[in-house]
Amino acid sequence: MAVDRQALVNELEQHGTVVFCDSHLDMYYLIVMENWDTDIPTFDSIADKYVLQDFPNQGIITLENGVLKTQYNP
Amino acid sequence: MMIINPYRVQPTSSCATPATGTVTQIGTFSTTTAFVPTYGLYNYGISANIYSFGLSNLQITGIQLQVTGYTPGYQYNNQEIWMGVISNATFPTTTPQVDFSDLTFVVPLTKVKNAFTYTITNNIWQQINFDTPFCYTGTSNYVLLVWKNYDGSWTSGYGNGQVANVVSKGMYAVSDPAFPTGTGTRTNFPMLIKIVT
Repeated sequence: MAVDRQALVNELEQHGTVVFCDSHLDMYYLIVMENWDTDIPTFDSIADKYVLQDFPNQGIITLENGVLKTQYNP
Repeated sequence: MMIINPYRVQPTSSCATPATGTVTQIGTFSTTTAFVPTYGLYNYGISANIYSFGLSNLQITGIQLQVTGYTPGYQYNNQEIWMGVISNATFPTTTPQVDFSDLTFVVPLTKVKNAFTYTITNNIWQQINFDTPFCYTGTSNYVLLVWKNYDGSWTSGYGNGQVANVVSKGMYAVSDPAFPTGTGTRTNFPMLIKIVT
């Protein structure tokens, strides 16, 4: 089942601006947010339920100055 | 009037050993990872790898590496490659120092490739010729190869680089506001390279 990108974006935008939210060649699913107004656990609680089924391994996540970046791997 | 001294020969390299164009693979392919040669998700980054060449008296004039999955034409700007010789067989902790102050150098790090633009071609061994050949005499078995990413921006469409699987011989650090400082992350996945000598 493909990631429901629109539903994911709608939820993420409650807490910031989506800069990038998509997969690349099925190699990974990438989410980049700006102005993220809360913490990483809150992000995980939103994104995990959409992404983990297709990309079960969260490779990296960082939050610096409101910029949140994470990559999920197959 | 210009006087030319006919007895003065401009050296092309300080290495005692001449380069022959030989290409030698170091290590065995294991998998691919986004962390080598540098992680395209971040504005700045560093990756480092410890190699055991099993060879001595080399003039290393370049390296080859292979990547996959990049958007065609993907570019990393302002990249640098450095090499040195160390007595450490592995990175000593799980959080190695980005400035390598936790390593013991036999030959200090030297910038072998000045700032360059790395334009990706997928699935071939891409050769990067050094500006300054690196002379490896064999005084230690361990060579440190460092890739520094000073691009300052990121873009999606990055892919993965080929790596070997050798315990504790890789490390990386990434950052967005500025080049990484402090500590990075040790890995078991040094970048798979071929050396050109």
